[in-house]
Amino acid sequence: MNLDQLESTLEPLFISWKKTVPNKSFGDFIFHLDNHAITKLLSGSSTPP
Amino acid sequence: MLKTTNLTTRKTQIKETDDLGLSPCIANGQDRTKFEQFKSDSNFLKDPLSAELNNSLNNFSNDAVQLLKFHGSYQQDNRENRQKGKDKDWQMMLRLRCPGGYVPGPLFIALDELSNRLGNKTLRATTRQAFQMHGIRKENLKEVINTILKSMGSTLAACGDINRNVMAPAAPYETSGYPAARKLAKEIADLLTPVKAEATYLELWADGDLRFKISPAENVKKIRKEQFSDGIFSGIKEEPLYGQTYLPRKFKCAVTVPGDNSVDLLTHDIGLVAFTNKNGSLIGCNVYIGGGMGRMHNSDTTFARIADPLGYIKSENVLSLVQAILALQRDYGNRKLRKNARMKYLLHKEGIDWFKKRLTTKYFSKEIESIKPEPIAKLEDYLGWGRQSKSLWFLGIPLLSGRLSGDKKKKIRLIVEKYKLELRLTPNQDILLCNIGSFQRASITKELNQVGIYEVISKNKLARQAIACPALPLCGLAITEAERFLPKIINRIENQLKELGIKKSILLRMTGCPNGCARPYMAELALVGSGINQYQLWLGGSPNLKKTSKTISPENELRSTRVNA
Repeated sequence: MNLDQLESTLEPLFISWKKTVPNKSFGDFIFHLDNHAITKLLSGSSTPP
Repeated sequence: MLKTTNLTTRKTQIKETDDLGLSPCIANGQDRTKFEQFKSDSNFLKDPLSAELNNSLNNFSNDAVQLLKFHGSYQQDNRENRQKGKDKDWQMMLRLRCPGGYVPGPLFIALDELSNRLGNKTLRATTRQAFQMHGIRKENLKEVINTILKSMGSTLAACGDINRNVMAPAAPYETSGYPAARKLAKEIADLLTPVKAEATYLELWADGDLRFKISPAENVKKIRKEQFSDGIFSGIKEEPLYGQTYLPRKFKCAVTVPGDNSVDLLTHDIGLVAFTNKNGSLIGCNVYIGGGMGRMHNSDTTFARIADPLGYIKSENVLSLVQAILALQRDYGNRKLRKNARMKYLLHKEGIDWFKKRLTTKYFSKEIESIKPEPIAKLEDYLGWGRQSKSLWFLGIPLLSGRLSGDKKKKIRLIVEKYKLELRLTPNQDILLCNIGSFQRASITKELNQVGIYEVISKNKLARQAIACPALPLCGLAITEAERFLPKIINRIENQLKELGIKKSILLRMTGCPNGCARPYMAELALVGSGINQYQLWLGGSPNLKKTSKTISPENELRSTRVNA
C-alpha cells in the first residue's frame, strides 16, 4: 500500500466496523471477519492496497 | 556419520534417533554455519573486537561488529549522509540492559550527559524497556560504556544471540504482586548473564575491574550452580550455560502479573505470569513459550508467532525451568539457518508436546502442572499520576516513539536531579518518574507544564499507545520511515476516525521493516515498511495483545501470521 492511500484503503473497513459492531474493537471486528469479507471490503476502496 | 561438537554434554552426545530429523542443531551434531564457527572462535566474544578497539579507524570490521552486538552496541551509519566515493558517517548505537525498565536516577543523569557530550543529544526508550543512545563515535565508545558501568548501568547482552533485557510491568506499585514480578525479572536477568562473556565485557570496557560484575542474589547463585549439571551444562566450563556459540539467535523473556499485559507477554520466548499470595510472595508462574515477532518479506517460512502455554510451575522451580528452557533452545535451535533459529520455529515445527517431553526428559525433572486460570489481561500504559504506595506517587510521561530530546529532556533531567527520583521505562516507550512524595506533586506538575509535558498526558488513547521503531536514517535494516512519520500517521488516522464519527481508539504500530521491533503483528492496525513509501497493512490484533494480525498480499489475498492460541 502506498502511504498516500492510507485513508482510502481504510475507509471501507472503518465504515463497516462502525455500521456493524461499533461496540467491538477494530481488531476484534477484523479478526472475526473471514478473509473473503475483508478482501471484498478492501476491493471497495478507491485504490487496492 | 554424525559429527560431534564440543558443545554437547555427555548426556546429549548420545544421539537419539528422532533427533536426526530435526533442523541442524547442537543436539544432532549436524553441520553449522560459518557464523556459528565464528562465535566459537571468538574467544568468548573478544576477538577481533579487542584488537580493533584501539586502532585508528573510525569503524569496526564486519566480524567485530558481530561481537559488538553482545556488548550492547550496533554499528550504524547515517544513511542520509552517504556520498558516493566518501566514507560512511560511522557511529554506534548503544543499548542498555535495564531489567523491568528500572533506571536509577544517577544512571539517567549520566546518560543525559553522555548523550549530550558524546551522542546525538537524544535518548530513546526502546520497546523492551531500555534506553538507547545514538551517534556515538567509535573512539568514544569505551568512555561511554565505562561511564555507564560506573553509574550502576550495563550494556552487556543488550543485543546478540543471548538472553536480552528481561521485561516486567514498569509500574512501581508495591502491592498486587508487582514487586514479586519485578524481582523475578531481575533474578532471570542475573541468572542468564553469561560468565566468560561478562569477563570479556569488563576487560574491554572497564579494564577488567571486577567491581562492576553483576552480583546475583543467593537464590540465583544456587540455581546458577545447576549450569554444571547434566543437560544444562554446555560442556564448556568457562561458559557453562551458553557454551562457545551462545544461542542460535536472540532470546527474550518477560514477567507480568495476572491481568496486566503491558509487557506483550505472548511475543516472548518465555513469558511468565507471576501469582503471589496475600503477602505478595511468589507462589508460582504460568509459563508461555515460543513467541516472537520477527519475519521477512517474501519468505513464508518466517512468521510472527504467539507463545504456547507450557504449564504452571511452583515458585521454587521457576528459575530452574527458565534455565532449562534456554538450554533446550541452545541445543535444539537451528544452527544452520539463522532466519529460522528463534525458539518459535522449534515450537512450530516440533510442537509443544515434543518440547515438553524433551524438556522433562533431558533438562528439567520437576513437575509442570496445568496452566492456572487468569483474569482477562489489559494493556496498561500507566500514563498520568499513579499511586505507588501510601506515601509515594509516580507520573507516567508519554514519549512519542520513545524519543527524549530538547527541552523535555532537559526538564526531566532537572526534575530527576532536584527531587532525587528514579525512572522506569514502559514497553510502550514511555517513562515513569517514580518515588514522588505527595507534597512534591504540585511543584513537579508546574515544572513540567513549563515545557508542555503535562498537557500531552491527556492526549487520546491512539496517540498514547502508538509505537514505532527508529527506522531511517540510522537503522541499517530499515526499508522505510517509521518513527519520523508516526506523528503524521497518528493525526491522519485520528482525523479520519473523527470525520467518520468513530469514537473508539485503535492500537497502532509502525515499523520500517518486517523484523518487528515495535511488535507490529500484535496491533489492531500496523504499517510495516516494504518499499519506497510502501507499507504492508496488518490488521486484526487485539487491544490487549492476545492475538496476531493478518496482512494483505500484493495479490490481495489475506495472509495470517501463525495464530496458535
